[in-house]
Amino acid sequence: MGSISLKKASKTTIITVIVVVLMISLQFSSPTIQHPPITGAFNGPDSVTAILKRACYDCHSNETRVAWYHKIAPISWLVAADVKAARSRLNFSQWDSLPAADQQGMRWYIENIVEQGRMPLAAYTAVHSSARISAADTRILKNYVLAVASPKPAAATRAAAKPATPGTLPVAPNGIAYTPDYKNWKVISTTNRFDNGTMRVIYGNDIAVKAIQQGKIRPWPNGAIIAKVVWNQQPADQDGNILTGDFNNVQLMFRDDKKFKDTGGWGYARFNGTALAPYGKTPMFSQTCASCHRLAADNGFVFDIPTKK
Amino acid sequence: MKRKVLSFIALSLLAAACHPAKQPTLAPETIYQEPGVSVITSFFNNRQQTISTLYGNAEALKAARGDSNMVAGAVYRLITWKQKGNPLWFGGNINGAVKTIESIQVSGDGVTHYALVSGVATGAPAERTKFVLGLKASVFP
Ligand code: HEC
Ligand code: HEC
Repeated sequence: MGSISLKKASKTTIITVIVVVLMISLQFSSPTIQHPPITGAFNGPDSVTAILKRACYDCHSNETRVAWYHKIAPISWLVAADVKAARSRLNFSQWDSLPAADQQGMRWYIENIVEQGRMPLAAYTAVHSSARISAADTRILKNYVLAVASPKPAAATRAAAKPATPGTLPVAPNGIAYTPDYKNWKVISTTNRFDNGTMRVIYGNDIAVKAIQQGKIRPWPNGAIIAKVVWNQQPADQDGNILTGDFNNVQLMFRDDKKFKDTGGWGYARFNGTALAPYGKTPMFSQTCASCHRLAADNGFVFDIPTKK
Repeated sequence: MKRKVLSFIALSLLAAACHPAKQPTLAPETIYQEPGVSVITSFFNNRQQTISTLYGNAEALKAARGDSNMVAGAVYRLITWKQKGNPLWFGGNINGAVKTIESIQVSGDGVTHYALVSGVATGAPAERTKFVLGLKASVFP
């Protein structure tokens, strides 16, 4: 008996030693979080900045507060990866470098991502309870985005009603071509946005409409296509009707769970202006589409479908 | 014990991977489905809290792109829904349930026929006809 437990003990000792040595050697390659200078900090009302500093700045700014245990591998790896990814997407220390229109869009994105409880990351609030967002915080953020936003209505007229459809169909950087076919599809919803002063009609092809009728949208069937046509709003007429102004863009979503695996099974494309100029410089543009559309995960990543509530 | 630990890990992974599964109840009945008509234009009204889309046949579409909507054979359908906030995006509104469906036909002799297909009237037929025939087509690429 004695010899067995001795054997066991020495085994445990050996494993412990190996783990300790491994841990120590890990520390030599452990990443350190840099604090680059703050070039153009976010400036909103104090009540808003206070929330963001408390709940977001550890990841989304150059003012990351590093606790001692953040410096220990493997935690340091996880923290550094989060901070790197978070700063690359949204950095409040470089807020000024975003064009005004992107700042405007980002404010609403922030409000929505927080309201849905997707940010700050749950793993983070589990440890940093002070970073949790309360109902009062959400109200402050809502009032803030509403106060900052007042998109100007477009001109009271609209440009020529019959732009020529180009001879060859434009293609987005990820290889998705524009299709005018949606004009013969069913309209699945009609929407307008008070965050950016546009209005939209959303079409679905037969596969998409059938999926809605059968309630099978998680996931959507392959072959479903959704098209959204966007116009600027005209100022309201004397009865309060707001009509479409100039044409703005067309956005498309193609369902193919294999081909578009990297973007949640949807292939995204956007074409701007009556010239239908493809949006995005590299195929990576569709990652930004897919990121935001995760907020519609309940609907299989599609926001605008008719629901009872 | 090992099993318990494993199933605990599996469960927590599942919980982390699945966003609360709450697919909303869909409302396919709000989709307007009539063969042979396409979108002419759309508009909304924050005072009435409504969203509308005007459909028409080929004659109507052509007419709405031109100067006069009084073209023989033109058929218009105006669908008006209740407007509601987009449940998934603060910053947007979306159509809810159908409120009214109005139909206007222009016959050969330039006479118009108005019908309230469903819902409660929001104006006299002559007034509604004038409004609908005055709407111009949205710009499509
Ligand atoms: C623990 C680190 C962490 C905290 C704290 C955190 N985030 Fe994030 N955030 C990330 C990471 C990592 C990503 C990118 C990866 C991803 O998309 O999941 C991200 C992505 C985002 C995005 C998406 C950007 C894009 O390009 O799609 C927004 C918006 C955002 N965060 C807002 C916030 C806000 C607002 C807060 C505070 C209320 C916050 N985050 C707190 C780590 C964090
Ligand atoms: C910051 C968030 C955000 C980003 C980024 C984004 N979308 Fe969306 N998208 C929305 C919201 C919100 C709606 C629904 C509201 C509306 O516009 O009617 C929507 C609606 C759509 C629709 C109609 C179907 C649906 O999901 O409701 C399409 C198609 C679409 N987007 C395509 C794209 C494409 C293509 C891109 C990238 C070029 C993109 N989106 C980027 C937020 C976003």
